[in-house]
Amino acid sequence: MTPLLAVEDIHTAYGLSRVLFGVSLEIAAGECVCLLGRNGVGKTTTMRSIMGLTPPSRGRVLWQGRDIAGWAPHRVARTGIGFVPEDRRIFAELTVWENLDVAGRAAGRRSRWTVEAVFELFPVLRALRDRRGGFLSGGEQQMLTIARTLMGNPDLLLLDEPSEGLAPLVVETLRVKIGELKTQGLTILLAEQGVDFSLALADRVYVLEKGAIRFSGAAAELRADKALLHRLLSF
Amino acid sequence: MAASFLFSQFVGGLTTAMFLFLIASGLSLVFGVMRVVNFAHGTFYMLGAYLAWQAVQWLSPTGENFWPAALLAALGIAVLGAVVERLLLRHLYGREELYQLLFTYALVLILGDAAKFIWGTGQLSVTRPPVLAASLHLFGAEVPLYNLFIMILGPLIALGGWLVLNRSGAGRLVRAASYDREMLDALGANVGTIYTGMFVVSAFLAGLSGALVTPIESVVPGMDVEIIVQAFIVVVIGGLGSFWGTFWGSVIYGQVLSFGILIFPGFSLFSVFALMAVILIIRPWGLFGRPIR
Repeated sequence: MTPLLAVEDIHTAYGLSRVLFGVSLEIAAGECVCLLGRNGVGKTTTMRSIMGLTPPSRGRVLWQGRDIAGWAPHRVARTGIGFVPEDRRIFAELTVWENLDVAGRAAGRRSRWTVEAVFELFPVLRALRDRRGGFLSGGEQQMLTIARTLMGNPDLLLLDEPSEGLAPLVVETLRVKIGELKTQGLTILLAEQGVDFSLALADRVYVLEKGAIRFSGAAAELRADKALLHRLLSF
Repeated sequence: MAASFLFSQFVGGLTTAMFLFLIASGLSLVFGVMRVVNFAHGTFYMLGAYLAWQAVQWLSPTGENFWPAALLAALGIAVLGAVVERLLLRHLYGREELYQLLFTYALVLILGDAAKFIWGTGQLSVTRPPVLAASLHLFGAEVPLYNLFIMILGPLIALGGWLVLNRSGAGRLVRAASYDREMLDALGANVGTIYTGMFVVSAFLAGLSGALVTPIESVVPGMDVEIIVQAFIVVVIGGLGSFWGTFWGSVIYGQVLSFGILIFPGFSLFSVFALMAVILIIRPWGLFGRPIR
């Protein structure tokens, strides 16, 4: 069976500074795969490469068997890949509702996710409907970013460090919500530095180090092997 | 000083203001959304005036077909804007701002010379459309109906523009594009198309104001540079990229110019430059603008 997404040996650089040196990974439909690694190893760059925001100079990005490497980001989004950036990038001057509405219009494809449906998933946002994005707390912004991307009805969600900088209680809420999305059948690629958050959700794990994959295997395997964890991530 | 005289100065200032608003709003919109400072915006205005004159000659030199001629001219400039953005300007996004400045300045020179080549260096004028040729007596002053029309059109366009930007789906997309182009792209919107749309709307407004100014002012080479300087002063006063800032900036500019002449008769632009200097010192980001983060 062809995987939903297969990244094959991609090399990506920002100008002269090379970040990825031949990253390959696969995600099957319905899986939750985690991309683990410390700060600056290339997790965000891997996601930006898939999304077309920083196109790889070499290698292929196969989406349902079709090479989409080098496509403009809006085309990638419209094929069904949703990106939730690490820095959230809420449209700060737009209200919560406007942020969601814009995302629905931007995607331009029929979505099972309506504003009402994402409010069901994140009830907090319903109460904040008319508040400007810039006036939300970090956790609320993170929920809005995920909700906004869902408006485009993605088949695959690229989640870049959703737990970063959030209070433990909020992180726990997010974990439950992402778990719900997974249960609903959404395929997820999750980039994380923290092992607890990611291993609780992931089926499989890739560990990135210095722009290359150093480990790939079942989440349970990594969780059980403390020595390996320590060597790869110094936990 | 007679009240009627003051009132007619006020009307004159307001007419200037509304023309400036139509021009400066396009300049401000393109900067606000695309971060491009378009020097050629004044050139679009001038070419709109020339095209309107030309269209009037073709359709009816006596003036009864002024309105279709003005619309034709504005549409012509909108097409020119689309060509400029799609074929040329597009390649300069994301580069240093200096390249965009040089490019739009080059357009000023090239299109300005092209206009001289086609229409010569003389003054061209258009008669006022017959419907609005009369004048109205208000507070003892004589107010031409055409000026009144401009004074009503300006706020209507301001209100319409504000409604579109703040209350429509297309407006929300435009605002999102101005805050974070890349993020909107990643959400699936073709930001390139939005940019083209913005540039075309902006060129249309410039062309329309150029066409509408022809019954009041004669069409001459150099009106492009003259208007772009004034439009820049307006957006600096109001705040670059701020919609209502541009509106109120225009109103303030028009009134200061109109009454400033009474105080410093020899230096018509002195008072506006002085105003701009003061505002730049107190609020460098303009009256309605925001400090750049």
